[in-house]
Amino acid sequence: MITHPIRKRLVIGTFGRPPVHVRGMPHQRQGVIQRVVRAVSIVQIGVRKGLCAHLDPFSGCLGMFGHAAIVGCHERYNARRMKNPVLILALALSGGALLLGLWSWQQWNHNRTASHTDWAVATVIPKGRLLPPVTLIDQDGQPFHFAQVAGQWRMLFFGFTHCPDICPNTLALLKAVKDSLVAEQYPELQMILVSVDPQRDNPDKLRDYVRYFDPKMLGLTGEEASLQTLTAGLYLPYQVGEADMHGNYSVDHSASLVLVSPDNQVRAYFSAPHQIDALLTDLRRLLKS
Amino acid sequence: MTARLLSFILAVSLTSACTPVTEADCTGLVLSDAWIQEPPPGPNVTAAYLRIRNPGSTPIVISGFDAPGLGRVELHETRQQGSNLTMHALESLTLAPHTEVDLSPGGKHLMLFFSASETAPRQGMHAAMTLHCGATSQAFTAEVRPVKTATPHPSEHHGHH
Repeated sequence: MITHPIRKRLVIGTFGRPPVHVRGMPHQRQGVIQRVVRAVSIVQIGVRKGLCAHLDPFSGCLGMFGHAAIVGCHERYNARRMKNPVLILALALSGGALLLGLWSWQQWNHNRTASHTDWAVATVIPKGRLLPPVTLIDQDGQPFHFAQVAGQWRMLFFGFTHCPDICPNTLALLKAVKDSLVAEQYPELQMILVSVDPQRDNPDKLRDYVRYFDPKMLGLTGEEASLQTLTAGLYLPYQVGEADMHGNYSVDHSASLVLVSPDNQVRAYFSAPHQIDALLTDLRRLLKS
Repeated sequence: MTARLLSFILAVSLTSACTPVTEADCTGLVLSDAWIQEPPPGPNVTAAYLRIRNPGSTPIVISGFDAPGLGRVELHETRQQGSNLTMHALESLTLAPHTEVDLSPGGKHLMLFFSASETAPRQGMHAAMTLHCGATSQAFTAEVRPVKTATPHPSEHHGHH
């Protein structure tokens, strides 16, 4: 029945039952399963004279097939090869190399995907990315460079004071996050609001506004060109809208939070909507790194 | 006699068919948890939130709000477009039968423009506001509260309550 020279040495038996039977599978497909099982029966799990058992390498299949056992091989074939020490050594080395390769691949794959899968909400940049070097204006009307506040962790948020919904809620959430971290003895997080509405948000207004949320919160704004450079460099563009009949206008902006490390590297982004518990979970890890 | 009866039936039928569908009365809406976010110093704008439930079997169209003594009120919605958040003014808000809408941070909300810092709502105040549905209206009171830190609610819930 089996005509291939190698297959000829294999006998697939199931102790008196049909070779392989999958319960519930249409009869016409049983032959396909048999061929698949033969094709993958490569790992010997037991050898004795005249009989060897083969295990389906896809262990799930073994369970699926239940009682089906794949046993047997040609007596002389096994006997000749198992007496050859060179062959045994070669097989052992090959197996070891295969296992080592699998383990290495698994480790590499784990490290590669860690920044995407192991965080509650953050999108982490493992090696960081330098903040665009721009000059802004702080809440005291002085030129500001991010290097001035290097040495501490910072969380940036881009918004504007005439934003009544998302901005105050996000800043209040940031304040709660910062207080929780301080209470847990983590390094203090410097919260920074960068206003993308310099036309209405002058330094005085910014100072009063940010201090409403936290006395240590920093308010920044800047020239249009500087703000565009900074937001484009962070992939968080903004756009000032048209004024309505009352002279009011809105500014489309990102609600993402940007974590900057003490060495001025962008380390993580947090996208809206923000959940305080998830933010804290990730920040506890990031602030320790 | 028969002719008169038929004329009467016809007249009644035509009258019924031509009568416009009456706009649902918004006094049937159930309003709860109305509050105004205390504005930080500076801007002459803040947001107000509330939950509105339509327990009736007809849809109700909310055409606007006002806050006498405080300022102008607009119905807005914050939407996420790509990575950006955009603000959109809404002309009206329709509540299907047996649904509720939650005007909450990050979604649909009321934008309150006050004219001067003297009229800015401050924590502890209770502001009188009105909801309009065409010809009818419903008054309610909104408490001024500090900014919440809670996660924004989904903006709408459908189903029976």
